[in-house]
Amino acid sequence: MTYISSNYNFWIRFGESDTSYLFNSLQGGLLRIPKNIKNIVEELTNNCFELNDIPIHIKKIAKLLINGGFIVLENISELNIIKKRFFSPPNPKTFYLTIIPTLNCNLRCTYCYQRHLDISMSQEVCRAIIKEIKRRIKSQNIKVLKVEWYGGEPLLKLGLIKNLSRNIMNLVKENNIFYEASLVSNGTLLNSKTVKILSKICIKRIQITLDGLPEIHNLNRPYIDGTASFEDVIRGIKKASKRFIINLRINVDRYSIKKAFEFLDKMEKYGILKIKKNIRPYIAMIGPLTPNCLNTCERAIDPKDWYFYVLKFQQELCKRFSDINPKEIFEYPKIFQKPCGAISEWSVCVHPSGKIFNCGLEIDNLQLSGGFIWEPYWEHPIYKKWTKYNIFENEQCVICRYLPICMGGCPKHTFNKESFFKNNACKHWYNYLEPTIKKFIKIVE
Amino acid sequence: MEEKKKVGIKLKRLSAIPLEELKKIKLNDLWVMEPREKWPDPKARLCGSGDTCFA
Repeated sequence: MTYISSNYNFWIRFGESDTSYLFNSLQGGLLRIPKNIKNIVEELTNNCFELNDIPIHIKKIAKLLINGGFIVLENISELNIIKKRFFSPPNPKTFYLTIIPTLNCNLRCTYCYQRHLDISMSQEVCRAIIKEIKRRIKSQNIKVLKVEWYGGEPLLKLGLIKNLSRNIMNLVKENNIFYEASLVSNGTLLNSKTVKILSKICIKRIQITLDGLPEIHNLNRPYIDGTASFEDVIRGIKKASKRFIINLRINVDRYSIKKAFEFLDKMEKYGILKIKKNIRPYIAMIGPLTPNCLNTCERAIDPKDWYFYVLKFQQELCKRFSDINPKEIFEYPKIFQKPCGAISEWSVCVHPSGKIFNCGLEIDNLQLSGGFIWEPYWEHPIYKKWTKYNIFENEQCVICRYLPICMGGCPKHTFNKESFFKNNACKHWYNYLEPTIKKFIKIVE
Repeated sequence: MEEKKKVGIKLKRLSAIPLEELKKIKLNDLWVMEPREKWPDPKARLCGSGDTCFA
């Protein structure tokens, strides 16, 4: 059997340094290559060979490289491995269900893509959701159900969340299905009572947005009446972090990005440094995600510069969160089965009206819905446009070495040729893979 | 993608590397990040689309 080099290898070198590194984008492994085996590894990855033809003491190194996918059997198609991942169901078979109990919100963020119509979910839609889960159990043989509560501000409908969760929990129990839920919230309504309720309905993680320093946050994310929300969000984070992992989203634009770094220094002042083990801060981009927020174009960071800030933020984070394993907080390149759940037949988003959406960013425009939950929405042309999206029809992607960690990027922006973010997926890893891995090495080594 | 070189490995050159040198290296300690199957997943975000998604 002949072995050859993987098409997805990347050498990472630090100038004159004795140690090199080898990253494989197909399997995700990163290997340290000390000087004394560098020549061997180069020989093995630059040539084809039979395992039986190499000396026994070299064979151990060859096997290590084979384990990491740096060397592969000549007759194996690596592209087929990516295709198989892309077209396979999630393992275990998982239904990802995003439920939007209401579009209403108690904040009026200046960059929001939603108009917050006062629409809430009816009992009829709740019943249809249970019916749909039953259908999925039967037709897709799901073993795991993951629900994400989204909005608007979902905690405005805590009663509905509680009741529907109980029905879902009864159903999964009867069918021996693993269940886990998460929540996207602005954090203002998180208090002892809500936290207690949420902990009883299998919530594991909460994404809370806090736009850094109070002077920035209060400008970006005021209540409907214009008053400040910062203190309430901080209080919510403190309460919730006792029970849940908090993904702390800091939305930034070109004016506020530097203040996000300042915020990390002031976490102690706001009383949330002590609970950092449960808090995962990250920055997210303010920008024209949909036609509803085109007003953010001017303030948005240029997408091609974005990852520079992400890297810098993560580096600063690792410095300050030195007691947490950096592998848990640093955004090492992830390997995706699909670029996004929106193109998966295993994932749907339910609007309060019962309309089905593939992408959560489209919920403000009913024209973009793929039918109602009580209809055979999977036959709707809009739903199919997403689920039949095939990245392998793109010739550039098929030959790209970054494909396993990019998978073509956001499908929504690919569909929209006029998107502010168009083509960014390609530039992204081309520009940032090496600096990302280098920073990761410096932090963990 | 670059076409693979179809040349046999230079066995002589590899055999010339002293065995003692190699014995010093614990190969399994060379992993900085193991392949995907062994990754921890403590910080999975609610939006699964990752770095190229701005949502």
